[in-house]
Amino acid sequence: MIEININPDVLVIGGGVAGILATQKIRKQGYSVSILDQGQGFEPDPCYKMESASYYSNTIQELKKDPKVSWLEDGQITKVDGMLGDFKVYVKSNGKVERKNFGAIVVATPFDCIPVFEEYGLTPGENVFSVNHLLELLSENKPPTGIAVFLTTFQEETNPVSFKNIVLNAIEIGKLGSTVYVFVRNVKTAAPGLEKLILHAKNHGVMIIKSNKAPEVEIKDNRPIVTTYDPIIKKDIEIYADYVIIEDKIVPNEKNNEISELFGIHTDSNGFLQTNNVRRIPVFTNRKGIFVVGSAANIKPFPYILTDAIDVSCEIQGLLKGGGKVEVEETISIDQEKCVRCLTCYRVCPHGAIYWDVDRVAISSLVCEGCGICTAECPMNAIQINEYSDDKIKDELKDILKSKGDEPLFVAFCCKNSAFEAAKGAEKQGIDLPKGFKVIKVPCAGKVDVDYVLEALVKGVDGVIIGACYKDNCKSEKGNIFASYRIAHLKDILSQIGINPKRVELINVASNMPKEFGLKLQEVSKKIVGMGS
Amino acid sequence: MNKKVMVLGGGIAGLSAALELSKKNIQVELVEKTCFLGGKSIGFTCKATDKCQQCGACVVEEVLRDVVEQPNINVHLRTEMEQVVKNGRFKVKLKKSNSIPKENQILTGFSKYNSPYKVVIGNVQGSEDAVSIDRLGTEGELDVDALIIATGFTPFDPTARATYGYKRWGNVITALELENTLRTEVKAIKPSDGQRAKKIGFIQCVGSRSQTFNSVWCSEVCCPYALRMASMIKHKYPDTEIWIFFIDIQNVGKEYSSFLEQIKSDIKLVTATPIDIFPAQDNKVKVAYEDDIEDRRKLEEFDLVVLSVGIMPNKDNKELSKIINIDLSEHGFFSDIDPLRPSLTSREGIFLAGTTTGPKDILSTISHAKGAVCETLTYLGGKK
Ligand SMILES: Cc1cc2nc3c(=O)[nH]c(=O)nc-3n(C[C@H](O)[C@H](O)[C@H](O)COP(=O)(O)OP(=O)(O)OC[C@H]3O[C@@H](n4cnc5c(N)ncnc54)[C@H](O)[C@@H]3O)c2cc1C
Ligand code: SF4
Ligand code: SF4
Ligand code: SF4
Ligand code: SF4
Repeated sequence: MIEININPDVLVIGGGVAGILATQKIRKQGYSVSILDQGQGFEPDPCYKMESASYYSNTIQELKKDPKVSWLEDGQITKVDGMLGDFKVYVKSNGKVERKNFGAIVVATPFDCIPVFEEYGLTPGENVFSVNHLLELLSENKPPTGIAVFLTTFQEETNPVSFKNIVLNAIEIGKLGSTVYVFVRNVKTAAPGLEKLILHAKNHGVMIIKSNKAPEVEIKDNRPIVTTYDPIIKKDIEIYADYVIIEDKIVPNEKNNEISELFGIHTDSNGFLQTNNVRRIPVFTNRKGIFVVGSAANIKPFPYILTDAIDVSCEIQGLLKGGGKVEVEETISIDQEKCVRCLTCYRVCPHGAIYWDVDRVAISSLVCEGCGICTAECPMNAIQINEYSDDKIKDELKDILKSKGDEPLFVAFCCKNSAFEAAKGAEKQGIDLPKGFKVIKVPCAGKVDVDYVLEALVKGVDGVIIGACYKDNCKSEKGNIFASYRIAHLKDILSQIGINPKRVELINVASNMPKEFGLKLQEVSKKIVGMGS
Repeated sequence: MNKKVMVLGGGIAGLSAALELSKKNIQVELVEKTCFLGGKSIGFTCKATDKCQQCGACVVEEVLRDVVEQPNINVHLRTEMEQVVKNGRFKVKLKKSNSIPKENQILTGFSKYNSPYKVVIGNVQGSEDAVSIDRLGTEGELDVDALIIATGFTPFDPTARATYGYKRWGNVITALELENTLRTEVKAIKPSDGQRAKKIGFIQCVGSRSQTFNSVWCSEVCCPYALRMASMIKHKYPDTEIWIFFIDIQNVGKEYSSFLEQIKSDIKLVTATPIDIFPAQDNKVKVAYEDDIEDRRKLEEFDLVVLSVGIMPNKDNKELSKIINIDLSEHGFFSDIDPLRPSLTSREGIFLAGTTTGPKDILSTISHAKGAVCETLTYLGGKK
């Protein structure tokens, strides 16, 4: 047992809707919160303004009275150290850098909005502006009137958050006397209550026109003329508009990349701070103790941001448990005599569990997820996970080898999150598996050491299968990718030492697909059996 | 703390709620009407191509495993709630569900963690490893401190759209049936002859977004599940031809724009609501639809037509609403009272989780259920 001190303060980054709501919920759990705004100000995100403005201002007012909320305005994070229970964050604000300590961190960066003027060859002006600008006009009580045309993006797909915002604005200016058209390719209605809202808008005179092609806009005598093909009346129509309002495309916050680097959290291909992986849902990142909510993670309808805020408050309660000293069982350790301080383990750990401790490399058992990637990558074999030590796995292999009879023998190293479950299911449901098929459970395909496979093949196993999660489904993000690199490398070695490289195969499978696993195994085993010796 | 919470419904919402509660050392009574845990989503297929498509189905299997391993979750299969009385705590009267088929047969679950995995009704051969239905079901009263309602949804019943010929033409199935076959057989099968379907048509929005059926909502899940199943089938069997008839395609996954761009090269997307489906030669089915561009009625023949049925309120809601004394929304879901606290009801101590409040996919259901547990814990904490 190791004793660790947990700091009960929480940092929330981002003063938009998600940040404010998360702060409120985390306060309810009793934790002090510092809320940092990175220069965007404490404002509801434009896309949610219409539906959330009143919640937002009520919540801010409530929090302003709360002495346990600190406001770090216009702050910039310059450095982050430490891990769950004891993060050290350096914040630059008003010209000076201060170090603050937190037990957990919630990233709630709002969206950025880019109006798609270019797509329509337009420049903003008096009668060409963005939805955000319309919001400003409305809040200044200067609503435009006449014929209004909303243009959504046709180069990409729009989304229900942005579309809902457009519909709400369309209803609003319709009420104030405008004639309103909305052009869209696919009506994005997949959000709570949105279909009903769209129907309401239509019933109140908002004309939503669907088209496969973007309308064209020409400015003549200072008046925008919108031309489009109307599929219902089947001809081109021209709308002499008084103004056109351009969709604000939602993109991830431009600061996300910086945060990703500072905190060591992975982004998805769009630049949101949560990888495209079901195992991160709803509010998790690759690092324990660092959470994402709302627009930092994805484009989410407003009600789901509330759920995120509630969820994160309970996850934090589950981790910090009020703060103070906790006892942690040592689940993984480094043999300091073997370690040559090459830092390979530090570089490959997807969960940020490895750190430099004065003069040696150390692992936090509190943070380690036990994937075993480091154990397989360490050139010195210096790291052991208690539950899945090399000795234990090799002993299992030995037992299996003892059972070898005349039948071909297949050993599958199966990830406990996918292939192992599928294999157990296949057994229970009586699905055909190759005869002489044996399973060794591993915490992740990334745990499978080249040594294990070589030893198995050299000592008489006919075929080795690595059962892994699909790409983008690995709990440790890259375990399956490490496994496939290693197998490619291993196949080279095998050809050199005269063992047919086809004796090793990697199979991707999900936990709920025992039949598919059975079929894939049959395919591989037939090839190996057909190969002879 | 020694508190006890009843979770009603053993779908992914109920399972997630039960698991979270038990991790917080709360005793859980998990009450499920059918003989199996997991709800609809335990029967769903993995939809991965060469990579995971984020459908969430495998997560359900994992949550079920974890629930079964928890010692402080008491599972009551084939059980329903009869009465709830609040007397400080809640006194809940349970009864055996009689909504189980009457004919002699063996019912099978989808997961190895359906404990039991096979249930036998009456006398059937080959039922040695099955559990007898008579051994399932709890009757009597239980005292609990709070209740979480996680009774889920009922998929739209397409026999209500008579022109689609569901249950009349053999090779018209629902997407739920396709999910289940893909999970157990790993290919799309024609019910008429058990062979693989080589030309498949999906029809979107069946039952959803309809004023006729008083369902003015988008079910949110059917565009994603249909497109993902289509690309999975296409990946496994590239010789399959797939058409999708839709009104508006909704976004699928985080990379929705590029996903749709990509799928267009593999799958034919047609903007049209089919009018009629009727049988053709060799057990094929014909779909009649209005081509908007050419402005005429067109026919297309398929081996298999899949109806993308939507998420409708659970058929039990009316009765349940009386038992727990909580009103339904105008559409028949259990709605939430405070938009800022999406799991609360008009009654203290009773919370909502999952699709019982409206359409949600698996992952949103899980986070909603976690939120419900969070609210429950706050309630229990304040009520010492
Ligand atoms: C065809 C189809 C395909 C789908 N595919 C996907 C997909 O690929 N990915 C995705 O994320 N989502 C998908 N969904 C959505 C998914 O089904 C839901 O998100 C999920 O099932 C919701 O879980 P739940 O627990 O709320 O409800 P349910 O799954 O409906 O579970 C409710 C449970 O409660 C029990 N119950 C009901 N009434 C009572 C009662 N009175 N007493 C006791 N118990 C009761 C039921 O028997 C059931 O076990 C799909 C939906 C459909 C219709
Ligand atoms: S990889 Fe191994 S040798 Fe290198 S620093 Fe880590 S423990 Fe030490
Ligand atoms: S086992 Fe995985 S999570 Fe733990 S230290 Fe090694 S690489 Fe990091
Ligand atoms: S496609 Fe669905 S079931 Fe398959 S691995 Fe991905 S999330 Fe799991
Ligand atoms: S998700 Fe797609 S198919 Fe389902 S109701 Fe919405 S638009 Fe229709």
